[in-house]
Amino acid sequence: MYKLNFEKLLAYNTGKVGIELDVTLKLKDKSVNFTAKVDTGAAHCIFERRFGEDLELEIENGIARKFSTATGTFSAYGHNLTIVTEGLEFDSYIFFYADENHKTNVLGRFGWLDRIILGLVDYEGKIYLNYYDEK
Amino acid sequence: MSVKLLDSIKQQANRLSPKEKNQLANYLLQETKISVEKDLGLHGETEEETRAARMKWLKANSEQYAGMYVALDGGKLVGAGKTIREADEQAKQKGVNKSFLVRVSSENEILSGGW
Repeated sequence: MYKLNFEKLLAYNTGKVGIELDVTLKLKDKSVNFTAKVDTGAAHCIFERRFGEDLELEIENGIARKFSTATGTFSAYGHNLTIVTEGLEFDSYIFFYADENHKTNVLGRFGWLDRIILGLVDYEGKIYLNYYDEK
Repeated sequence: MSVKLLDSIKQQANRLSPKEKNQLANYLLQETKISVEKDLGLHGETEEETRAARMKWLKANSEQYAGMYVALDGGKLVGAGKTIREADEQAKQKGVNKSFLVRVSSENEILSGGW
């Protein structure tokens, strides 16, 4: 038997297609709140451009990268800011879509999943979260 | 901190004048801010300077470290490895317990945008 300990237990709506979590992005004295889908297939966290602009980021001043999906490719820009998901807060490297029409918000692997411990019981609509702490 | 000590501090705070309470609140807010910044690895410099230094390093060194994780302390590299654990452990060996950990990609790499 294996055992993990979690600080957070959340219920999510199993009626929705994705597993959505509340996200807050913080930069200096500004913050923005929205929901994003857990996506283990996404390399990074990628969010709508308008959320970065709400934080007064110059989106194109970030690090430009190309991403691919089943339906094509898109560009996004990486920035350093603080991400909070359900009370778990850390500094990360976050991407914003170059295209303002891109509306999918995803919590991806590098910069989010690699910082936490995630437990999922989809049948019950339960998600368990904790900071990764090797102690 | 024990619950007993916290209750004792609260009781003492209740005896303060409104002005003194305000001074105490400001002090605690400042202390909390310092603590949070330390947890986020934003020690020493301002938040803006730390973030700018990290981004400058990433822009200058992405091609060299593409495909690896790096640990940064402001604009200084304190760890690098194929895994986040390797980078983090190197940083910790150098005394940096809260480094900024990033998986670096090349300009030419096509990253997965999700399912």
